[in-house]
Amino acid sequence: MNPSQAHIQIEHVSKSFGSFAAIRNVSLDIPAGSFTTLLGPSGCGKTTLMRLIAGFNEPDSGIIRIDGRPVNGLPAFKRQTPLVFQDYALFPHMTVEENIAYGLKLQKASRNESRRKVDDMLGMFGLDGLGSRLPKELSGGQRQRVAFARALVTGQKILMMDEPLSNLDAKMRVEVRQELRELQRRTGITAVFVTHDQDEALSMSDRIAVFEQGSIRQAGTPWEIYFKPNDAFVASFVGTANFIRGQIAEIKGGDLIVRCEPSVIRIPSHGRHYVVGEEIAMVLRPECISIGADGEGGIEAVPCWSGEIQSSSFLGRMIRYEVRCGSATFLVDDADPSARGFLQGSVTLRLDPERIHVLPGSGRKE
Amino acid sequence: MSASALSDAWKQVKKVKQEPILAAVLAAALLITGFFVLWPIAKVVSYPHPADYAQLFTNSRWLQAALNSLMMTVLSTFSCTAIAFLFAFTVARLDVPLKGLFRFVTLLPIVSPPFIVALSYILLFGRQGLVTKQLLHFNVDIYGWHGLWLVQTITFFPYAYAVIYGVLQSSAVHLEYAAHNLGATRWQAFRHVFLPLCRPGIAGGALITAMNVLADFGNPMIIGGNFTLLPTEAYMQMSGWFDLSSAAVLSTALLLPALGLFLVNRLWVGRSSYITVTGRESSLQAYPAAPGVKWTLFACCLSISLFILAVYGVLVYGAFTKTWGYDWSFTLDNLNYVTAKQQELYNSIRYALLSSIGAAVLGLILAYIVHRKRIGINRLLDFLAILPGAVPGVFLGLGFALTFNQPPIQLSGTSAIMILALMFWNLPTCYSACSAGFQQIGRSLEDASHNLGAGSFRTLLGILLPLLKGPFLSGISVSFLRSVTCLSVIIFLYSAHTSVGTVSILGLVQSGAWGGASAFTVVLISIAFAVLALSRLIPFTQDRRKR
Ligand SMILES: Nc1ncnc2c1ncn2[C@@H]1O[C@H](COP(=O)(O)OP(=O)(O)OP(=O)(O)O)[C@@H](O)[C@H]1O
Ligand SMILES: [Mg+2]
Repeated sequence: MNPSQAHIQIEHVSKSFGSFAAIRNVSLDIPAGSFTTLLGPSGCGKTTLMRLIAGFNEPDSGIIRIDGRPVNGLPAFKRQTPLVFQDYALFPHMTVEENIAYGLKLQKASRNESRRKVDDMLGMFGLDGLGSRLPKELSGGQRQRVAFARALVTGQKILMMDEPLSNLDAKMRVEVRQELRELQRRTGITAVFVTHDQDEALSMSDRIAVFEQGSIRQAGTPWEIYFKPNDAFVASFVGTANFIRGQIAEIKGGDLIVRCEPSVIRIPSHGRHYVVGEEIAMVLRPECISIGADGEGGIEAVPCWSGEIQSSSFLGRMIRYEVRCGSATFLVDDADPSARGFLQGSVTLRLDPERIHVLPGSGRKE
Repeated sequence: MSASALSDAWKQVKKVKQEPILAAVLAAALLITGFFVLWPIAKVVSYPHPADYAQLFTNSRWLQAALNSLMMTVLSTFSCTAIAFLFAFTVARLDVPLKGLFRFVTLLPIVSPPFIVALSYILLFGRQGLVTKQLLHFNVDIYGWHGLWLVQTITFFPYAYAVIYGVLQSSAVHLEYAAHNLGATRWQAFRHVFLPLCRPGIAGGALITAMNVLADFGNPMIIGGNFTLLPTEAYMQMSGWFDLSSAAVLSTALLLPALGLFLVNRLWVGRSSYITVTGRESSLQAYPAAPGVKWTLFACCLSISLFILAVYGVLVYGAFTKTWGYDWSFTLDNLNYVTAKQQELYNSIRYALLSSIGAAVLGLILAYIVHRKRIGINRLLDFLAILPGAVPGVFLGLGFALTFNQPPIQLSGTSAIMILALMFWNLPTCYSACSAGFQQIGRSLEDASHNLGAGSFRTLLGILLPLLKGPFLSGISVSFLRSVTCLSVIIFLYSAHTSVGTVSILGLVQSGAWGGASAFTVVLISIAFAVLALSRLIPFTQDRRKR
């Protein structure tokens, strides 16, 4: 296989259940050896897309290619796309060993080989000594590792995972994330990961595809998704976002002079084309605004807005303030709460123009 | 350990003391079920002299009857389970047309008298049979085990179907997807995952069928001929020679395997089920079957369905035919048999109505006590309520006949004994329906009611009863149909005044009046369904959401 070629290609795929369109004209390239995450709210079609790739359902239209070959019509059991199911789907009547060995048995692997591979897997996932237990005799975390072992034992180059961490507690989830990423890097398999947890998506992925209502709103690196969202949905679904609406008053050199509530700001255009009078929507993450007590010295050039603190919540590593400036409300994070303690009353917000992101095409939409 | 058990028991006593109504009801329930369930059983078992039991092994006629019963149970259970699985799989898993027909066909035998299929079988294949005489010009002896096997298969496969379908319906489709995902073909996934997971359910269906086949009285009575089984032999001892002792020996011989099947079903099948209700991914459709397999199964189901429809069709045809086998012209004369037996028809409906209401009320009370009052006596009550389900109808009838023909309670020949026998025969049906209902209602509802100051009784009336209306009414309906079509229980109990429709039909069949028997059956079933339909019209019984 040509390494630069996408391992899994999805081209204009649609799928309806009755009159309900679950997947709408989705196209996505999943590069070989990458960790690609499908992220989206519940019911947006992530599982459906995965089932289409695995061959459990056939798309109504569009083509799915694996290794460049169309797999439409190929039955599920010939696709070699191991899947870790959301609820693991371990066979309750088989022991841990039998579960893991099942794929090998179907490939008619020899007894010895099967034995060896299963033992490898048991060791790798810390399941030594549990081989002869039934799934119901395992803890949630152990079951999940059996599910991974079962999917990986046959050595396929693809691993799909449907919210595999959703049944674990918060602390364990963070641990497993790292292990999983590590494993994927080591084995070089192409991983497709489904989640609706943005932290999981941002921390693990090479690429993220953000879904909403059956279509992909944006596909890109975690960095792009977070700092350069394509639209308001992506911006607000991934992380917390302040939206500022404004109208371009003037274009000066490479900068835009934007009239917005509560005052005029000057932001770089990053070489993109705008016209005077255009309405734009801008996104600013809470941690990109700095907050200080009223009257604390500022640098010129940086727009300063004064506002009134409405509420604050202490989150441990930071304090999140809700600040009202004129008619607009901003969420602002103070990342070093121990330095100043809680702020109260009137404050000054400082915006970094470089970090203000203009949503592309926002003027026409909103 | 024992100290804590003692203190538990003491707490329960105190709890019951606080609610005198509950205490009274509990005592009454125990007394009544014990009296009408355990005592008749004990009576039958202890009636013969111990030496009489030895005859079971020395009397070659009886030994043969026992062996025949065993053989038929094995044969028919096997074929019933196979056909039930075929139907259940087709309806639950395959995307084929005519599923409505298949469901209908699996319902028909359950709601019709137990010997209807036997009767149609005679009309089709008997000496004057439509197929044998008219089409093939044959003259074969159809009485015996072949015919019985066919007839029992059709009569009882729906019982296995109901259980197996339930299991297949709730089986974990996503596990099969997991198997496919690992490379298992359809056949491999079926064998390695689907079948092992369904096995307990299939075994459960087979056991239910075996219990029914073992207790079957109507079919062997009509087409067994000289091929006698334990229930028919017991009946002959009683009706031919008035030999109650022999009848009791034979019935007891029947009770033992029936109890065995019952216990295996309760203890083993209940435990070893893998089916878990996760609620997740429940909308999943099964992975489509290969077309060849699909249409083969469809064809099998279709032919069986058509055959069953023919069985029922021929009955209606027979009801309006002058002389079956000789004169095929249309007539209403057969209805004269029916009008001559109005008293029996009336009895059938009256007994069925009263006994099913009684069974439902008692079943509800028992289910309430067992599920909602954590009292140590629960397991005993539960067992008593379910036990009649394990007792073959013939045995139960004999038990009532022997128990209530002398003081303290002398009921021989009365309507009361008929109603009571049918009522306790139907108790397990109603009790199970209500139990399932209670299990679905969260405890918190009742706790809320108690918290607001309502006692047990007010809570039962105001909160639980309205919620349990569904199971309660379905219990009544099923019991009603079972009672109308029952033959085995009442065959030892009826008198000249209390005879019922099914007894008349048996008489007509035995005297060769096929037309009359058919007409009577058709009328009886029609009346039964009309009564059911009428009860649906009463406003109270309607579902509130549908109004
Ligand atoms: N077999 C089906 N029949 C009808 N509708 C379906 C079926 N499967 C999925 N859907 C619908 O398609 C939509 C997408 O479902 P899907 O399971 O792909 O969501 P999801 O993104 O995986 O959600 P979650 O995060 O909750 O798992 C949902 O609205 C769902 O109701
Ligand atoms: Mg999902």
